[in-house]
Amino acid sequence: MFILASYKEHNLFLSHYYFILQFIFLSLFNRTLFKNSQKKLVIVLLITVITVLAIQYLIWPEIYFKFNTTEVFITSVPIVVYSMIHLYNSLHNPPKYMYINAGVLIYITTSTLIFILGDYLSSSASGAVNNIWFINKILYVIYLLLILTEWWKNFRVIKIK
Amino acid sequence: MVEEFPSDQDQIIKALVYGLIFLVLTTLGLILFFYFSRRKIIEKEIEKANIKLDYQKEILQKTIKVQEEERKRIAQDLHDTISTKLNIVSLTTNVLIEDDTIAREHKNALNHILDITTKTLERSRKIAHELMPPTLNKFGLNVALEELFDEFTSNSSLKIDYQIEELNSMNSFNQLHLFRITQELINNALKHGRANKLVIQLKKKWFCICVY
Repeated sequence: MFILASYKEHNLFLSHYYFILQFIFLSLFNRTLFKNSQKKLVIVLLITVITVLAIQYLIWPEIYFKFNTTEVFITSVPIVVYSMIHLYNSLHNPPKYMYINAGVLIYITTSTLIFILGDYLSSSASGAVNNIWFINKILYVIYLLLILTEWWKNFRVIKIK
Repeated sequence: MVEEFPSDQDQIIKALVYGLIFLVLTTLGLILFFYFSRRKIIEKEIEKANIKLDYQKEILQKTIKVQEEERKRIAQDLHDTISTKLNIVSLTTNVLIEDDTIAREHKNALNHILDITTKTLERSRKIAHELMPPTLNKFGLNVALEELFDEFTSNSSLKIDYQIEELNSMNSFNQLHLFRITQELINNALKHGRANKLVIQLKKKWFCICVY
């Protein structure tokens, strides 16, 4: 993104890859944590969302170079739903990947709101817009820190064993 | 900046900032809520497990108690009925042996009967004794244990050095337990360890029993 931006190239289409890859990876990650019936739900949602997006890009290929609000919405909501389901599952079972889950829940909900308004924000000339992107950056750092904590904790447990 | 030039755009951005803060707080609240619910559920589960454990302990205690009572009853029955009857048989046989009118072959048979009766009497007395040592009830744990050790040492080449503190202040149920434990320990040492020397220490503070 930054490389393209530095060459003054259009880089907005990369966001599509970001959202779709994030959705696929987090879906598969949650699928490994879920029980059998919930695994089916993940697969159904995964297929549905990808089909809807494929149809959308086939009918309107020009949105590839724009900020796709529908895409942001339908890829983020399932992830939030997954992390809620995971929280519910953890009530009775030993908690697994709780830090990552907390990070996903906080970052995805807030960033979804920001990205849904992304088109509006990128067209806006106001200086206050930068504040919003700054909040997004801070939340993203928190998200990454939580993932790092999770990784560090698991890694340490293995080391003791 | 925002205050100085209020415009539609700035207002929307301001609302967005508040919206974001609200969302962060809500998700955080959700996570905390789950965390505390989880803790509560775990506490409840631990409580439940403890109750179950206590119940199992109680059942075990009751089973042991019933078993001991049954042993006591059998021992008593053995002593009261069979032993008494056998005593009468041996007395009568003795009377018959003394009788001169009885033929010599018959006397041999009578002697045989007397022999068997005496052996059976001895055996039943021993069984009753093993089932419920009467010394335990009458003279307390220390005497009963000493008697137990004597019994083992007299029957085999086993040597037992023992050191027992005064234990009679315990209640009778626990005394019986301790007696059974010691009995089992010696039996195991003989059966599985093929021991020829045992050192047994009973210390009062922790009811510690060490068998070497």
